Amino acid sequence: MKKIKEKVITLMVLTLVVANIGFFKLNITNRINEDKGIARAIFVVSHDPKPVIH
Amino acid sequence: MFTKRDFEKQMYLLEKMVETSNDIEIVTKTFESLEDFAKSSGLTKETKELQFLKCKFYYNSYQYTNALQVSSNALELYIEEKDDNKVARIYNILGACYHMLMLFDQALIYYTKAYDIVVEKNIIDKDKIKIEAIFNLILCYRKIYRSDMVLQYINIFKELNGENLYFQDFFHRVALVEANTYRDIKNYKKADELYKSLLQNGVDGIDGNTLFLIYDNYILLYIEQGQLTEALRYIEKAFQLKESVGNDYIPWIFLTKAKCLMALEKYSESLNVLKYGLTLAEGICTNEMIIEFQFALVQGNITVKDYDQALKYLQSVEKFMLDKQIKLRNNDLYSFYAEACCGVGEVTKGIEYISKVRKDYLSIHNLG
Repeated sequence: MKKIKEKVITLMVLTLVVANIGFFKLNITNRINEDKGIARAIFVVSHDPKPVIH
Repeated sequence: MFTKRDFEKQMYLLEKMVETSNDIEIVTKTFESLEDFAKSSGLTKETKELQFLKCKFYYNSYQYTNALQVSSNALELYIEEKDDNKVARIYNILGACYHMLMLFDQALIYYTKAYDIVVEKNIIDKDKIKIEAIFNLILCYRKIYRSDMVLQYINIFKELNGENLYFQDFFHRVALVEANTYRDIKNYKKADELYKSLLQNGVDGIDGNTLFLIYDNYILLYIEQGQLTEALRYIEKAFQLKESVGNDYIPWIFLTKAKCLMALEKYSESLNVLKYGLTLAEGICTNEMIIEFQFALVQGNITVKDYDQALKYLQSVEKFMLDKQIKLRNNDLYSFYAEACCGVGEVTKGIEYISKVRKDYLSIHNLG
């Protein structure tokens, strides 16, 4: 019983560690993407309709 | 003898002419003669109405700087008179002019002012002006890559009264812009669904310009995903629609076709398409489009290693941007200059251009 408990705890700790690494990586990727966005996305060329007046 | 009745008749005709503005000279002369008559006869209301019409005329005939000047004068008159309907419409025109001049911050300010008036005051044409202001805000936020705001205003649009005829008129255009936004944030699946549903469900009810733009933008989605055969198939369809499309939009399909040909390594054909597209774009005087074609020609020539030709186009686009005081694309300009200079062996000059696209971290002049 004690061994099972220990295994469950180890598994939980491992899951948390993996999840954190994943979260950390995701954050960094997002930051990099955002930075790229800021660098190039001052102005977007779009084939959209013209502004409308009446 | 020119009478008030003649004046009214001419005004009616002028209103029609302003919408199409095919013959700028005739419209300008008609304005002059009507303004003279209105002033000499003390017709103040009509004089103001003529000013307002002139704002629309200048906008429709691509004379955005003139439109700004006349709109500012007209705005003052209508604010004095507390005519909120006209004030909101002029704010919208001012926004649209700044938008076309690529001054998006100012455009946003004026669109928002128009929207605020409509929300706060009970004016005639409320629905119409509200839809226009929201639509223009959506387009403007697209330009500055604020997809979050684009989608937010699209949601506001969708919550408006769907039975309103003007709403129906804008429905497909907003759906198109929504699809374009999803494509630009790389949600290709959602974009594909939206383009497909536009083409499957409502081709009959869609106006020529919007249908053309749907094909054009759908092609860009295919190109982005590397599906060039599909892209070419739709290019043919878009070209078939050309006759029923306004001049404002036609050049875009030439740029799209050139991109596709470039990807297929048909360089010479692509460059010819770009050259033709540039002449069309210059004919309608849209800054964004002209710059876009010139940069595409620069890149195309660099791709085929014709650096001298690339430099010629760079000088031309640089002059154009200087004349129009457009600084938004300076980084593209310097980056291309750097590449072209290196291509002709002027490496030192190329490096100088590279240094222009970033801050000077060791400069003693701007210590902040």
